[in-house]
Amino acid sequence: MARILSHSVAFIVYLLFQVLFFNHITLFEIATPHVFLLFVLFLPLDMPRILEFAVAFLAGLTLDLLSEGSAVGLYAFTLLFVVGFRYRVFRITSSGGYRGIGEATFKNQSFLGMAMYILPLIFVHHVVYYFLETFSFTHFFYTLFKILLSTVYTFLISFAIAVIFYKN
Amino acid sequence: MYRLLSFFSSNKNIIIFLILEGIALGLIISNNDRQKHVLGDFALELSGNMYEMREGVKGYFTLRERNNVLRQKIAQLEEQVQDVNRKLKSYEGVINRDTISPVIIDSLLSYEKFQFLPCRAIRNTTHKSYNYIMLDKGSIHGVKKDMGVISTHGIAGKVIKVTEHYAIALSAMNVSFKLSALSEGVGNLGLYEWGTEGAGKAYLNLIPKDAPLDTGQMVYTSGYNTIFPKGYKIGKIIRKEENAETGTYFAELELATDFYNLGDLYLVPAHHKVELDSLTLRLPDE
Repeated sequence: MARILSHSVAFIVYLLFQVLFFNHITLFEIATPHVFLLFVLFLPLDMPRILEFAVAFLAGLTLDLLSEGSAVGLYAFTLLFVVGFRYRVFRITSSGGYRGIGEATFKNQSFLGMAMYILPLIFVHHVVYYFLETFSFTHFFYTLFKILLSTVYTFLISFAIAVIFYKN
Repeated sequence: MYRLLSFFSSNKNIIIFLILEGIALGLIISNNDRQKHVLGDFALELSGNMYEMREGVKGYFTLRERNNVLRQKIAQLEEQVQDVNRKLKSYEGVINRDTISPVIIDSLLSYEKFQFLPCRAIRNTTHKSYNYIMLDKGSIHGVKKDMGVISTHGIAGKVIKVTEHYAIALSAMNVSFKLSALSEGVGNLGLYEWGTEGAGKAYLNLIPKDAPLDTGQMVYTSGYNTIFPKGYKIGKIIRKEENAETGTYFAELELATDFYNLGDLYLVPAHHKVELDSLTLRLPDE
């Protein structure tokens, strides 16, 4: 119960920060930090997968409706996509030592493990997001540049937040 | 039947995942012009209020810059007034004013008088593929759908949604903003398109090959689409290239309007738009 409450609060805080702050601190008018991604990345790992999908989808949809300029469904698609892979990425990058998935948490991840967990997922998120947004390969290298710059930008902010709030 | 059910139950996660992804993809494809369809009037009024407050505070910090822009504009207008006065004087000798009845003069004047509605951009994005401008004037000020939006330097967008106190305009930096353009002494020139490259750049496509075109030339609205009257600045040509496939030219434009600093804008009334559109509709189908 306490966990549901804390994740609900996290949802609202991430949403407000993304819409009112992070959407406006674009780098060179190219890269935007998608820090909201952290909300779905750090959902409890022992959650039923169907519930996990539903939460990611609805959270994405909410964000789509509130952040102007992006097509509706863009975040919903991308966040759901990332959530579909996060468990596998966690298994590969975590230091292990837990017996069942019920014990797995982010608390005893090392700095490196944390970075290894969020970086690939952030990258995948931006690839899917920006190619869906432009919906063409016409300006392929420009889009790629946008993806790489955004990934680095999002990662730097997200890693700081992850270390401060999710480690111990 | 049993095997079918057991297949579903053992793969239910992936099935749910695929269904939800399908829904999301459907949403993306069907809602490209999202502001038009999804954002309800209430949400627009609410966020309009919020952004107007923010813009009110921000306005104080850009006062000096705005002042400069306005001063330049005044200087330009001053020159034009002098010019027009000079022309008027030269005509006065030709026309004996008494021979024209006052009624005719009045109706002529009223036809020529364009009523520009000044407004301000309270919200503007420049880094997305679909950029929009939110304006602080709405239907009670006389804003209507399909009005053109211009800045003091050139075109800026077109109104697509109006509520009581606010309006949303499609920015010229939006991939769905299309416009036909012409240049000094060239006539119809091509199709204006914006290509997500940002930084105040746009493209002109389908330029006829025989068009005498040079870099540095200014490009204007053609007035064919009834949203902008003829002759508003779009931008300057900075590069041109030949498109071998279609046998036409392709040019890169530097937009005249500074989209990173919009501030004060003007709404251009779409004169006779309904009339013209209904005429086009009544064209016989070959």
